[in-house]
Amino acid sequence: MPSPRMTKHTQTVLRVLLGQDSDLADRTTIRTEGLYGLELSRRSGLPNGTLFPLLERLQQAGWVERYWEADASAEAEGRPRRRFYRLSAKGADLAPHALAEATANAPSTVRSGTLAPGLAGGSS
Amino acid sequence: MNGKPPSRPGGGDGGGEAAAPVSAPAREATPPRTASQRVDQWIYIPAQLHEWTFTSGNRRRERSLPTERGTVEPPIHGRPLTQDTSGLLLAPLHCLVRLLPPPERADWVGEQRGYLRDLPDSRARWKWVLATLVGMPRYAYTVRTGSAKETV
Repeated sequence: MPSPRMTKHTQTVLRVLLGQDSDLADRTTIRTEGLYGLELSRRSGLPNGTLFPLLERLQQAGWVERYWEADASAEAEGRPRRRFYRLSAKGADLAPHALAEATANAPSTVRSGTLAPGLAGGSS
Repeated sequence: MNGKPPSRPGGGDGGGEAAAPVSAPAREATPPRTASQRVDQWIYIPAQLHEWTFTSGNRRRERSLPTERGTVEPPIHGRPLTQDTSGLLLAPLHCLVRLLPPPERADWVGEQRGYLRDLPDSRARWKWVLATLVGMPRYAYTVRTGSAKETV
């Protein structure tokens, strides 16, 4: 399965799943526990109509896996089971490189020959 | 044939007259419904219709009698999710879940039920349902087609 397209939203979700969604986060460690979908939506700031198709694509690419929490803990709290999302081993391996590559390539997305804003009459 | 109606065994002629004063106060003892109770009843009807529409035969027979309304369980935070609210919120999701492949449907509904339960208030729940409805065609397309067309 090829790598998922690294859109802005994909990068946001991957950063949250990696635990790099805040400036204070330690970027050398990778989050191993899963994130609840509601928490993932809150941290990424994405609406659920955007988030869940994206998670589905990441899952189909093998980067994300989802799992249900144990019945016992849900029953103890008297609520429905929750579904958690986390990076798979493949995702944890590839996502940091893909994010770094996407960040490095971000300024070069402006095609040559297109107009860019600048000073009137030339700046140099 | 004296023109009097036959008296009931064990009762005198005054039996019918005695029953009237007993039944009249009993009828008056039932308080009239308040406006809020009438509104609650009309909110309750769609939830019952939803149950009749989407529950299977056995469960429908079990639930055919109206159950006592009230909270299901207290959520982690915010207002409790009542049975009525749950039914109303899940009804559009139950309709749209048909877009998904059958193996995915039960898990998806269970997942959404958990989210609705954990959202803090009714407004947040309805917002969540609305966003889910808007995003459902895209999600269903992604689930059904795979990521082949979505990758570089």
